Amino acid sequence: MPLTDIAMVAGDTSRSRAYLQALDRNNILPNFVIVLENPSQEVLPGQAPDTFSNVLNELTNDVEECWKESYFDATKPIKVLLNELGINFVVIATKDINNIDVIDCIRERNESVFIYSGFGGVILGKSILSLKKKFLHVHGGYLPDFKGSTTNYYSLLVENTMGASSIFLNEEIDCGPIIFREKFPEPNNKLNIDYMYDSGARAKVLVKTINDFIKFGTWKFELSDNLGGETYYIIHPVLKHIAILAKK
Amino acid sequence: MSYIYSKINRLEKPHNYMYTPYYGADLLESYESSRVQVINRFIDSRNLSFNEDSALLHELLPVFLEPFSSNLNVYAKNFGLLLQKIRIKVTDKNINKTDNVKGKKVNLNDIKITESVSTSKLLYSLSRIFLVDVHNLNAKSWLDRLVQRFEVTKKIYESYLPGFRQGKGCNELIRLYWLLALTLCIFYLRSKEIKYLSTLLKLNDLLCSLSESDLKDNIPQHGLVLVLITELLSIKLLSNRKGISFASY
Repeated sequence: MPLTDIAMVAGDTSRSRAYLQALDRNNILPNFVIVLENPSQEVLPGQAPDTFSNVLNELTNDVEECWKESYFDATKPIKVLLNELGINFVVIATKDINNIDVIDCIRERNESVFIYSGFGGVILGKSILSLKKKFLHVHGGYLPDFKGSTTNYYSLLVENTMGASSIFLNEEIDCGPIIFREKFPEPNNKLNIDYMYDSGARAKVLVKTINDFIKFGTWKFELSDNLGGETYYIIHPVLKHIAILAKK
Repeated sequence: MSYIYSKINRLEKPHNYMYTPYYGADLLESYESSRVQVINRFIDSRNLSFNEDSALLHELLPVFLEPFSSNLNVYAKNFGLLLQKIRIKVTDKNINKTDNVKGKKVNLNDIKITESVSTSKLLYSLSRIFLVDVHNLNAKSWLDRLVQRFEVTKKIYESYLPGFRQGKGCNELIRLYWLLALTLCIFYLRSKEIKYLSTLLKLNDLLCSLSESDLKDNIPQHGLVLVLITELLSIKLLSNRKGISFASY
């Protein structure tokens, strides 16, 4: 069932692949997708390296219900997926959602809500935020406690959990009103956090967020005042390794 | 394996730490080995001179001893003993406190976001406040601003223009990177908030990537060893808590 008022902006990242496959499994597809295509050959933040497909099979042994949206094919390019699903899409050769062509495209679309799944490390600028569209983003961390970057590694170190929270983006990073949030236990294979479990947790929260919208006919907020918490920065590799290797 | 994060000059070529690969326990061992090499190089160095920050270092030393000397962990005890040695070496006779510390006392309330801020004065003020009050919200806000500036730009400027966004002056003053590392050590020891340990690791990667002569000219004797030992022991204790043990030597 295409959602007539919901579109998506997507770089071809593990997260976008997880989102589209989860939305498909739950029969709640976006009406239209703007694909941001990396014009260079470099691997961008959020894109798994080519070698990543080697570890995919390990996931089939992970049967925890809470991680069900982590069972996605991270090797399938989103253009292939969009064609298979019959979703209309346009490709714009940029890695930056703030690119003028992207802004023009969003402005001209009828959908009022865009699921945001661009490349990592990019912040939405004033031009795009002033379009009178809503940008639905799922942050990889439990808000408002864990704002910023790589927060799931920090929460694993602090409390042995991961998290994901859906928000509408505003000018403050990770400070938009919280629609839905969920905590997850640490996954069986913590080597796959970057490209599988982080994406899987976000996909599960995205599905729940959109299903609630369909159910209630409006966006209900779990926490309108997304205040307080700590802002985290990219975790140092030594701490990342401790989070992955931790036995307790 | 070699520890790549401090292998090349990180003032000239900063590392962004995005999506760093997983190397298993080897990474932790290479990290420890790399830090221990630098510590060993500087622990008994006679060449380091006392400088304008020696008095501050002397004033702050007790806070570094607290968590380590009383800890039952073997590593903590050893590092505690090492710190005691350093304390003995940094003696009052070498430091003219009146000239150095008192002359630099700045009330944090006199530092305003609407005005230009001297980074050195701010760090002196913060380190002293955290010595006695880690819950001071105004001081934590200022520390967070400094951490944000370093994390985003990987630079610390001599001063910041009103609003504390745009840096002004030199951004290669090694002393300021060390002073921030020292302040983060105190804050982490008192608060145990891991985000500050992450920034401390990055600052120490940068310091360890610099030449011996640059470090000697800009950091007071034992100042570098102190922040490295504090960081390394904090990592050891965290690893132990999480059920991981590693040793490179």
